[in-house]
Amino acid sequence: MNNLYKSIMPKIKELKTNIYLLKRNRLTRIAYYLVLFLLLLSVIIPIILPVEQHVYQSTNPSEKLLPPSAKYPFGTDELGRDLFKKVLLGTRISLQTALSAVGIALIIGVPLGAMAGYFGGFIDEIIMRFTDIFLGFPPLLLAIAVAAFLGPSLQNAMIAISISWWPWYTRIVRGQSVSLKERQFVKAAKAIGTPSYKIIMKHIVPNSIAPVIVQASMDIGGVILTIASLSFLGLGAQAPVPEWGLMVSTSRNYFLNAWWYSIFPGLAIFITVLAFNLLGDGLREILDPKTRNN
Amino acid sequence: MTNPYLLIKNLKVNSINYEGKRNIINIDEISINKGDSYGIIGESGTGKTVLALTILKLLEMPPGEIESGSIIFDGYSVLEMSQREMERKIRGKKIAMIFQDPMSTLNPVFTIGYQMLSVIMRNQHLKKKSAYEKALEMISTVKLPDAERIMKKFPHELSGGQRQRIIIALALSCGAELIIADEPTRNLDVTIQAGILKLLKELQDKFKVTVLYIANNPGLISATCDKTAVLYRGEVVEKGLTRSVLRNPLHPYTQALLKTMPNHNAGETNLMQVEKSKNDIISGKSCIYYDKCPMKEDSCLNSQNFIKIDDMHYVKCHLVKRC
Amino acid sequence: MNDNILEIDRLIKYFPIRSGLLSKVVANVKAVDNVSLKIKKGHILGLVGESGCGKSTLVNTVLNLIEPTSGKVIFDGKDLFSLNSKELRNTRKDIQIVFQDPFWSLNPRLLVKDIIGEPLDVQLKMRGTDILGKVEEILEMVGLPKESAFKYPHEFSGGQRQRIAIARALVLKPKLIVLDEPTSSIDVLSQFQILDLLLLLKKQFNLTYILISHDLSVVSYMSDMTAVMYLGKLVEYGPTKEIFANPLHPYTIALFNAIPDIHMENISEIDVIEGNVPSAVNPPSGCRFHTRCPKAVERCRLEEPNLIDVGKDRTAACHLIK
Repeated sequence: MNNLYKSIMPKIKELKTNIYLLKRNRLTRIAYYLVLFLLLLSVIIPIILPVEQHVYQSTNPSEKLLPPSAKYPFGTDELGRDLFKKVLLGTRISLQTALSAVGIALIIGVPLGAMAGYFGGFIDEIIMRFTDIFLGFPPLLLAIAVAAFLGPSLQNAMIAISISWWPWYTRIVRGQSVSLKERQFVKAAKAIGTPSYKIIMKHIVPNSIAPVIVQASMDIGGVILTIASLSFLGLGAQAPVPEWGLMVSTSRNYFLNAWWYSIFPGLAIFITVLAFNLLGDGLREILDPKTRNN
Repeated sequence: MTNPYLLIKNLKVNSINYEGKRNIINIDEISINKGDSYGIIGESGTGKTVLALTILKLLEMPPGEIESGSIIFDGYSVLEMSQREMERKIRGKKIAMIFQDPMSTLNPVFTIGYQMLSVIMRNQHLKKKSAYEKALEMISTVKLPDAERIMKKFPHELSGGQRQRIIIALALSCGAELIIADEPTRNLDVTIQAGILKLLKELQDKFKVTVLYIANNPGLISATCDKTAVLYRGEVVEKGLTRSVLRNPLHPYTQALLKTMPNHNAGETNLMQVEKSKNDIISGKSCIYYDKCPMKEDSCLNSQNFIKIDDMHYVKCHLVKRC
Repeated sequence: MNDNILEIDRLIKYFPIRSGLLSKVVANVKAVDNVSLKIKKGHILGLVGESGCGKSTLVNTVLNLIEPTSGKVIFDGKDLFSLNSKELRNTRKDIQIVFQDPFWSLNPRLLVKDIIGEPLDVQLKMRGTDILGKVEEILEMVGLPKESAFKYPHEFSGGQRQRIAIARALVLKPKLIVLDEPTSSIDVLSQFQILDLLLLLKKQFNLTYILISHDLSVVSYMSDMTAVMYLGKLVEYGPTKEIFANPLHPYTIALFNAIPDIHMENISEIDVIEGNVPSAVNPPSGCRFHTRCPKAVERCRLEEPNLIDVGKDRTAACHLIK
């Protein structure tokens, strides 16, 4: 127990240092707090505002398409539901889907890239040609195709996105891995007789993960946008799920007399994507090994 | 008594990070006359490179911070000049720097010729044709055969020694009067190193330039420099004529540094001594070498001043008087 | 009779350069060309030479990280290149390496206990607390406090990191350790502490070292035998004391003279051999050193010198030695 504590402490210290460095830049600091706030929202909101009660059962046609007011800060939608609550509830859906999509893409992409770079030769050829095939399609188009094939639902949109996203991580990790395998600590591990899978897990992956984290944090913005796009096109979330893209899509019909219906979900997408992109930029700065020491 | 060519006085440089400030350079005085070759000896992490960057005003701030002090170079007060003035008047014009890794100075995507020409044309306002001739001349000055062929090559096509020679040629061709050589031969083989050192010495005599060598190897400094300062944790602990400092070292740190061959019979206890962590911050005013000094006593906790041994030899250790 | 722990027998390693559509071999980099060496148990062999002389290739074959083009490496009576994978794994634990640069040889993302403990995990299948105990024991042996186990490598100075690297090499109690420039990238003051530590550990654990260094003072301090290499060839070999007292091969002499030392009056005392090390792709004909040799004669250009016995256990490859 004591040993566990002792091995975790340095890692926490490392994390603290990184967070300190992250917060040094004002823009990144804002993004950092914004992301924390969004994450907090996505955990708390569904507890205090259960989705069933506030979205599925709260239709109230007599109050449809009301402009923003004290009672409804963001106005109401075509079925009289409170848009403020819907947008808040959307946070959870967007973040959860985006994080899982990126997570799946990482789980597929990182080990493949590490293997390709480490083993080289034939294995490298096969893996990389395979990723080339995927990279040949524009990511959104591929996601649309896969989502259309799997059938429209939020979950399928998520799978579609991971499928079109993993090759990017494979590429990044492969590049890192090729240079890492020449490093002396990898050679030392080989000289000891460490089996390849252990070298990949302990030496290659942890040391090549930094640029991947940067890429992933910037991608989360992009993925949220893609989910919204898929939902907008009718290939993602289905009504009445309070998904931002879907809300924007539905609002098209009422845009001329209910501006608030499009603007607020749109703003939510905008702010979230911006926050993640800024955070990614900040992360790049601190995780870059050149600026890191000191 | 003429003014020194480069005078560093009371220079204090700190590095700031979130754990607080740490002093990295604390130099009372270094003065270099024109035409001198001056050596600074110190281990890695003693602030040698920081010093060089401070002279050129290239130190990144933050994390660096200049607390106090002045650097007077050839009548210019470097620390008070703006970056633009530095660029126009000093860097590459009067002071050139040779780094340990020549690749960091040469741009890998341009040929040697292109890089030399652009430097010469910019600094000496020459037409392309005369600049080309000048470049050829400089390349043969640094004793590289076949200058025309070398002009057409890219940096990676040259060997480490050849690249370092090109850097020297570049430094000289823009008319630099002070060359700061930061471990110029660190990554080179010994036979190549010897050639570079000899070349630098010859060129120094020929072009009357002043050279500031920075190195961790006393042997190298001894062979090339007239005067030497020994740096320990950012402080000069001993300075003077190279010959007297290195042949007759008086500061315990210099002595330790020069004991090039360890004693076979040295006690094993000494050897197993636990090394201090690099982050230990020296407390207060005590002698900078107090932690590790084999001769330390309580009086060493007081601040130390330079003690004059003779006109050309100063030591920052109050124990020398007794010997 | 056979007290040699390692015998390198006519080792040749060429790296082919391929080119064209069919990847035809157009040339070979002759990294190691016909080198034979023997190391006695308990001895230290110093391997001297400049970059590109084949030191690293030689060592990589001894570590079995690359296969030679031809020749044999016999370690402890076993031919390293005819072992099956299980035997190979067992032998790996007997040959370890300490690298030059302690900043790249330790995985920056692992705690010291995991770095030193890796061999124990891989080779002896030890677990958790057993590993930790062993790690702490070995840390104290190399002169580091026990608490270091729970730190990251970047919290240590160069000398301390090199101690960690030594601890990792030592933890499996190997028979042979290759020291690849063990002190060239750490501070002068720490250098000799490290060297003395290595000598002490050698006595304690009955080790044999191969010491690669371009720093001749390190070689003369540490090694019993010295081998000088130039462009993939062994040019001089013999007891360290003899070679340092009376170097025979012109290249060895040039190496010795190139080192600046604090007793020199000025730079002109350094002898410089001109030119660069030629490429190993097309090494010069005859004696490979003739392009830079101050004493070269016509014969050196035409005829390749063999290693000849010059007495006192010494061999040298030069036509001019009688």
